[in-house]
Amino acid sequence: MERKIKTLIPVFLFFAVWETVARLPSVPHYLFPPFSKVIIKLLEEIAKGDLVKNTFITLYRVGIGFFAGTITGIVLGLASGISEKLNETISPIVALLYPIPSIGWIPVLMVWFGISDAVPIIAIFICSFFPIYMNAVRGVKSVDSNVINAARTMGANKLTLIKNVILPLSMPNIFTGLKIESGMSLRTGVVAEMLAIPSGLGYMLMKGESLIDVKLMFAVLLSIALISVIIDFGVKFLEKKVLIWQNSASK
Amino acid sequence: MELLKLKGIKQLFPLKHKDVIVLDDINISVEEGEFVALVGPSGCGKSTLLRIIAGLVKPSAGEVIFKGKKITGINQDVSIVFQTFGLLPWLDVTENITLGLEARGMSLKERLRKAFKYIDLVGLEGFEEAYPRELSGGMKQRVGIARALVMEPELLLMDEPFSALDAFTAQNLREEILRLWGSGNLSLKSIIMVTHNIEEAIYLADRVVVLSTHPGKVIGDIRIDMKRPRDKDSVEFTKLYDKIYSMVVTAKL
Repeated sequence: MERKIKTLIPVFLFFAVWETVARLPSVPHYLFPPFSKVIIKLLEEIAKGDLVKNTFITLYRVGIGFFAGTITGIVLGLASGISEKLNETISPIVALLYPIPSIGWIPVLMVWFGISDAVPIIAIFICSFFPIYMNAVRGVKSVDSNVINAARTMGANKLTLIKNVILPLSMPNIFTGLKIESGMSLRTGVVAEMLAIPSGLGYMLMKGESLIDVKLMFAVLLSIALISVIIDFGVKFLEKKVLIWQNSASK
Repeated sequence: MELLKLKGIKQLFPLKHKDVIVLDDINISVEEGEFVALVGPSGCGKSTLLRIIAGLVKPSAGEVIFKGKKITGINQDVSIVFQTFGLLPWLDVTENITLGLEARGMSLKERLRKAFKYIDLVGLEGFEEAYPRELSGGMKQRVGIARALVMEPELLLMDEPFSALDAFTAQNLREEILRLWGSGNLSLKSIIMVTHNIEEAIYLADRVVVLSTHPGKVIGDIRIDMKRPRDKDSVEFTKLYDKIYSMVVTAKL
């Protein structure tokens, strides 16, 4: 608890400095609103329902893209980790496509799908898939071959081996991928909404820009920050639960 | 009675330009009741040979005959103890030990009865619910040994079982193995141990088989007729040590 308070002190300090600077007489509020006014705006937007609705729209897109990308990444990653032939087929393609910023696909997707949920969802899928895939492959490769041998001599068949030995032992690596992509997918989702579709938090940012409503933009950015922190906590919590055998030194 | 026979085992390892011969024309026969140590310089393919005996690796040529029958898949009458233990970190001691029994479709009650018997035998009482991360290296290897023995194999394979442990723990476990081996409590008929520790081989085994490297070939097969427990400082022990040592050294050339 004490440590939590300690990490919060710099945050409060940051808000205080923000408030003070914005309140200087030479700073126009419509360009740089004080923190307190942003909070009031945030509460107003929540009360209006707009912010909540758009947050859920964004979360829905991020959720679907993230989930689909993660599952595909784990399945293909495990398969490539186990079968060297598949790895030799898929990995060069991945090496070619991975460096492309997932945001770079958005214009293409806009041409293909028009104004559609598919644009942000597929962009998020692309950005989620790669880190998970690569970490899953690495995870399988890092499994101690003796554990596999031990399981095989004890009569484990291929499916048991994958389900009960390889997948759990790959989990630490898979979570490394998850932690990278969870933040990335929210960012990609917001950018896709800014460019491609009139709904979601990204759209609200663009609306703020067109109305020159900096308070609104700050309120949205603050919400995005908050959501990121919550997602991050969620992934870390899940990791602790799933990898309980790895982290804590005692039951 | 002959338990295991290796006939003309050859193992190739494919490299870019040409295949490397890891094992070449290995012919070894192991009798029931024998404790055989395989020694040789690193890279002589002794661990590969162990995996071939277990049926984990298919040899490029040659046959593994177990109790008169040719082995094609995994040999279910064989268990392995590994240098790196190979325990599953999310399972406790009992669960690690009973894993193989579960795969054999044994009931929970029977599994636990067996597990407790072997937990007792290897001296792990009180650690039934401990997780691998809570155990020292020596304790982990005790779990490894119990997990292998609980399958009640006729042949136990050990791949450098003591080389990841400190000297004191390793010696303790060696004596433990001899105690179990001599107790007559086990269904176990023979043990094959891979090691690069010549002293350990002489201390434990009835026979020491020496392998050369590039390619791995049998270059010596020495019977150890000393009574147990063996005195490492005795003249006989030292003589055997020197003999095998010089074989291993020339094997590297």
